[in-house]
Amino acid sequence: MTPSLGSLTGRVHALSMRARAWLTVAMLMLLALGMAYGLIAIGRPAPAGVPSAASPSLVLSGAEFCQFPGVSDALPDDRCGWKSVRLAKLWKGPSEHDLADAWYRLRFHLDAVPERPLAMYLVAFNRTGRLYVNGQLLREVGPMHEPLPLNWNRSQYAVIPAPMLRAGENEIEIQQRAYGWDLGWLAPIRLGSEEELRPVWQRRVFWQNDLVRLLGACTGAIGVFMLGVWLGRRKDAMYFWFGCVSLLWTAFSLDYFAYMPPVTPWLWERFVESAPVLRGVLMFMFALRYCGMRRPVIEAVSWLYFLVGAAAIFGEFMPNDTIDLWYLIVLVASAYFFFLQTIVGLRRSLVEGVMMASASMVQIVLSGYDLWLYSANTWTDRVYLAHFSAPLYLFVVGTILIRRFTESHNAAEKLAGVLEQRVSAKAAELERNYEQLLEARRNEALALERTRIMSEMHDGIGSQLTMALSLVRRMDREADPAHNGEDGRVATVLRESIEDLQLIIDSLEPVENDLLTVLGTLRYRLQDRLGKGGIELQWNVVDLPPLPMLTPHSVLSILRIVQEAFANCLKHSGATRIAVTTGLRGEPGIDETAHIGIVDNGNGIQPRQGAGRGMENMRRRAAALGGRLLVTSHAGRTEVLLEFPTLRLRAA
Amino acid sequence: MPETVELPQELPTRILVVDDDDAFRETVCAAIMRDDTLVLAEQVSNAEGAREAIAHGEFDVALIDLGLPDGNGIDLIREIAATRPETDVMVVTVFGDEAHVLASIEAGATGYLLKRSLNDTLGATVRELRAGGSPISPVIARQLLHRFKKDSPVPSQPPVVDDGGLSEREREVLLFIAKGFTVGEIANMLHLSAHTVATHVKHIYRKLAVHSRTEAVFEAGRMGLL
Repeated sequence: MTPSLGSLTGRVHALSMRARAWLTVAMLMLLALGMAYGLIAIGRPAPAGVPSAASPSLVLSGAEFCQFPGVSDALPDDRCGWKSVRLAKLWKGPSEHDLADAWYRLRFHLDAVPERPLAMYLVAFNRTGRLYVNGQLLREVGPMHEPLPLNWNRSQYAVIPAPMLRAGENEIEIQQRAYGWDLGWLAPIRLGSEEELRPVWQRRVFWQNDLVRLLGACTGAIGVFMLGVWLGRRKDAMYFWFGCVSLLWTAFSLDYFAYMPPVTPWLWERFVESAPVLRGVLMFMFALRYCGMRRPVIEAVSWLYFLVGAAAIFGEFMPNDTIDLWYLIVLVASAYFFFLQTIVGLRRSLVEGVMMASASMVQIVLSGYDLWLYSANTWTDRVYLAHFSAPLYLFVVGTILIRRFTESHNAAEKLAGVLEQRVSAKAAELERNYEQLLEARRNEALALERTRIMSEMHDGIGSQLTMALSLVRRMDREADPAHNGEDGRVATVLRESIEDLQLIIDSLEPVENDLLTVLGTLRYRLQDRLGKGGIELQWNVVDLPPLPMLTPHSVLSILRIVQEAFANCLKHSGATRIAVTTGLRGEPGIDETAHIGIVDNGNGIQPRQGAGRGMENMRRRAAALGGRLLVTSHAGRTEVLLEFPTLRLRAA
Repeated sequence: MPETVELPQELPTRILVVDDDDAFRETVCAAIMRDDTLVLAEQVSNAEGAREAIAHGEFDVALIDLGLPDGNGIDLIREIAATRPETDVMVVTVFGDEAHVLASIEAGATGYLLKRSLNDTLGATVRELRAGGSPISPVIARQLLHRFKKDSPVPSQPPVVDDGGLSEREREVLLFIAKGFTVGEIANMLHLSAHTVATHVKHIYRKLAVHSRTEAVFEAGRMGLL
């Protein structure tokens, strides 16, 4: 892959990462919008009035209400002290510690007995009780004995069979039972056809209970996952605190859909009352760690704040109005750390910042709304919303954390890959260096040996031969004062011996596998003689790559062959011009050969005894190189071509 | 070297010959006699005599044999290079092999001669040398390239003139010589005079000598000798 292509795919990858992040934001926003729409739709109060053709349902918001001092299952008579009330009606038992009963009577008029059953929809009914129609038991809303079920956020639906109804006045009697420390309440009741009311009830159950159950399961999964991450990375405490927030939310959300509380109703109510502050403190712990901050004093103060409040709730000495203040302070404080979180998120990336900001904003607004609803201390048709904003917040932050986790994991993996590459590159380099070192040591040893031999030859036999040559030359001059400077027979033998020694010495020189240096050395040695012979040398060579086969042994063979070719030109041919050429043929690793050509313009090779033997020697040496000698000769042009395999490996 | 450069020379070049081979000295002296541009300043057969001559003698070129009975020719070269920078030193070798020649150049020699062919080449080589050109073989060129490459300054540092490294032109000349081209051919290819190319070689030799000296000083300093 070329670097430019690599960087391009990298950019595309970064682009798709960003696109995916924005897609997540968009989906979460869409989800929030969808929820808001659904909630507004079911939160809209039903129109009150009489049944008509267009709106066949009937809303009963007026009732007669009476309360017994104790608990009794008998339908009270007129001595109970009935009084007219508007629904929704909230009531409280006479004693904090006992169960309490209350009764309602609602009347409605039917012109005739309907052919089909009549549906009854009770938007809110706390906490349990029985429904009667015209003095006959229709159904129980829940068990009437301890522990009472958790019905505060659950709408009720019942079907009145036609035979229980009559033309004219009809009466619905409702028995309601609640704890003394609790509030009992009944919202306006709707009557209508099953086709109309069943979907209304189902929609309410979906938004109010089922969806919360689903979200609670999700936050539970997120919490468990985060705690798992934390177990693997203890030093990243933010995962721990976030896991705690998520699991606390899941536990708290039971209040919205569980039928029976997991602990006694009293304990459960105390937990539900203190949970929002606990959640705030846990979120604060998380936010600090997300921002990479630690504030030991403020952290201690917030824990103390929670513990004191929780003690007051469980000890039942929390004044009613104070609990709202207790919540409000947490809400205001959370606005501050949401702000911090958003800043840190923005510093990381725009996407993360925007996600943080929007989730925090939704969380604050909806929690504020719920607090307002709660502090009104009255029943309304409106739905509590924090249980939607909290999961939204948890999803957003969870997404961010998971993304961060995967990012750091990816980064670590990439780093590991890079490291691995570096290590293997280093290992390869070390190996190469080691081989080079070995090679260098071998070469050093060879060079040392070579130097020793050369020094021996230079100072020993070389010096002696040279001395002998100058002695013989002097003797020649002394014997014949008219000596023309030509070497005599002995001097010639001595000179040729020295020249052969020179050739051996040259073959031992460090030519670094360069054929041109080998040939150039020979040229350098022969230059004076060629010049004296009036021969022009044309150096028509091309550069060749290093040939590892050029060892002293093969160099000597090549030098001898080429020298012999030159000698032939000089001695016999009468040439005035010699051209030296070089070249390569074939494929490295398969059939690559190098060739050296010596072409002269002499009168061709004569079939003479000496020349024949010389040529025979050249052929033998060429064969020893694994190559061959090609000679073409005619008057005016003689070419001696030496060809030998380079033994080079195929280029990587 | 065959490239002969005609220089207007009023005075013949004075030559000091240091060699323990009598027959050889005789040959050299005869060759000097035959050449009008050369004159024998002094001939000595050992290192002691050579030192005396170096200290007091008058000569322009020293012809030095490396193997003397009472000392090393390399030391003599170093002495001359240190005390008489205007003097050229030529080493007389049997084979002109890289080991002997490079050691001599490092000591400060700027030329060399083959003992057996000295009779024919002495005059031309000395004249060339005095004119500023030095002889060089392909193997020596290659070794020089190697030397300077190995010691080349860190690539990130900007090259400084005369820092002991090779100029681009010098490197080019060495590369051509290593590939067997003659000074004349190189001059043609680079559009220079043959003399300029030969001068490059001498400069390179001087650089190597300077380089070797600084390296020696550096090494000595490192070993605590200085």
